[in-house]
Amino acid sequence: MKKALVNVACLLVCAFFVFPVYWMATTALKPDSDILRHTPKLVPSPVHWDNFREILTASGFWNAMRSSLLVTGAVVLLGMAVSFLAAVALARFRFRGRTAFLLAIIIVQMIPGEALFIPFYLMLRDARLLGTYAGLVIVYMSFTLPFAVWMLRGFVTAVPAELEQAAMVDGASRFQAFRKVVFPLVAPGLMATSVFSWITAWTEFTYAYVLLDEPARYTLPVYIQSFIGRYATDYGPQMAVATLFTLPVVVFFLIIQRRAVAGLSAGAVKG
Amino acid sequence: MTLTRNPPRAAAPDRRRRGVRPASRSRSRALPYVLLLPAALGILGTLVYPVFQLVALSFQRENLADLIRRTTTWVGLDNYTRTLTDPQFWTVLPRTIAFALTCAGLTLLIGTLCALLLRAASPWARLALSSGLVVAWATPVFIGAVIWRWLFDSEFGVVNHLLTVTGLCECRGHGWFLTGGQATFVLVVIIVWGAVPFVALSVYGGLLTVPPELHEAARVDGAGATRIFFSITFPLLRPVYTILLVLSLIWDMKVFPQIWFTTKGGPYESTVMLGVYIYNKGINASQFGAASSIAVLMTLLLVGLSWLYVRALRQEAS
Repeated sequence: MKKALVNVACLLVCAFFVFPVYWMATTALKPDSDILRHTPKLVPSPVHWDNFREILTASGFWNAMRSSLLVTGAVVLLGMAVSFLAAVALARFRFRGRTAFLLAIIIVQMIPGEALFIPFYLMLRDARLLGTYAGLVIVYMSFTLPFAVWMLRGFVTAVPAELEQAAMVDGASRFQAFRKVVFPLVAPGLMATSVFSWITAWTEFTYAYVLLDEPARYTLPVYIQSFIGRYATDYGPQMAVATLFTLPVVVFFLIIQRRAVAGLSAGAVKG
Repeated sequence: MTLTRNPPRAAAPDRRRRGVRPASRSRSRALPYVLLLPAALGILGTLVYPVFQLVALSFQRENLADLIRRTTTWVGLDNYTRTLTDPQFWTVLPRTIAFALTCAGLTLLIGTLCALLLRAASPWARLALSSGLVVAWATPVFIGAVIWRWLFDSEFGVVNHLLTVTGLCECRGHGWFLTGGQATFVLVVIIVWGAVPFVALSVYGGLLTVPPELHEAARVDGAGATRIFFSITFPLLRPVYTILLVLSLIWDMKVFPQIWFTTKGGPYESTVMLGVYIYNKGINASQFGAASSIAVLMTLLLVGLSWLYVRALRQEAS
């Protein structure tokens, strides 16, 4: 009896957390006449694809999609290359300044990005990068890099150095040992870390909003914001973009959630 | 690696470590620095330098005219005195702190209740609730704000409809963003909804480490569920709670997108928190110096909190 009550409570709480997401997706599947209704329909009937059709033929959407893909792609590729090298240095070598660098990485992560609006704005203005993709990539790199180094270091440390040494005893060069033995073992971690950086850059709104002034360069979050009008919001298309935007995030998030936690704790335990 | 630790030998080839040629010794000593260089440059150029610039700006008179003329006027502590004597600062700061405390407190409370539900439920119900939590967790914060804004829509929102149908109030057409109190309430809902999943799953993870024998023993001794939680579970999970509290406070102090997508600080600036305050002063009004002094104060506050976080982490590790 008590168990049944607990289970019902679970379902109710679950509904509270899922309902907003459900409502986003179903609003996107309703015509305006069903969206602007005093008695909302719980299930869209019939399913109506016009909002998605409208979005998928809007040039603003494709511009924003291109901006978002370009920026996030650059952040992930550059960020992974740079942070992977650093992670290898930190996990595989003992050298002077190593502890200091690790400490710096932790401290730097405490800096709130929200406080750096102004210096970033002025720096990019002076470098004539205001309103460009490159400027945004620089900002996103600065937010994702320390965390990516930290996480990757955990994954590299988790691969025993003995494996590499064994390969070198068998005649492999250090580079070969690394490429053929360590890299395949770290690849899943690299994947998880890139997804993490990707989500951070893909979902960032504030800096994109501050730094991009031309509508043609808006990233998706800024594009979604631009639906909010002064008096009314076009909810159907806005929910359609929001759904398309959120879907890959949820999928990737489900894939990496466990692995990311594992990498973090591996990085935390081993020195 | 063992290479740098062993004393250098003569240049004669060493048979036991034939992968390593003698010439590579000095190269391998430089190698970690070479590998580290790009990351170090990146962090220096895009994080450390902006922080220095932020601090420098906070001691300068820097408005739009100065920027255009490219002049720098050092004004000492003027920006700080002006900020610290600005009545708006003294409304925004306590408001932000109270807001963050409310959000963090509610998040921890509801998160704990969810975790306890997860532990007590049957496997299928547990799976349902944890999947629901993960879906909300994965939803980007600003999307959460976009959706909740629509749910709280005055004319066609589901919230007003449900309140009216259940007879709780005749809410049709009620605007939630017309008074500061109600607008803040909506913001709290948005933030708590997005923050609970992480807390709930972390606490649930912590609960699993509490040996069931302890509960059993307490129950045999006649303790009720509340008593067991406060006398056994909570003390054992105290480090987890410290970390979650500090993290939640840090996140809730610097909210920006959630506000920007809903109230933009309105009505009548009643939901302006520190992040929005800096944005309005710096980017909108182009008072870069004054805004920087606020940003420096905010950073100090958050770094102080983060320091508590790191200390809590280290305590838990030891």
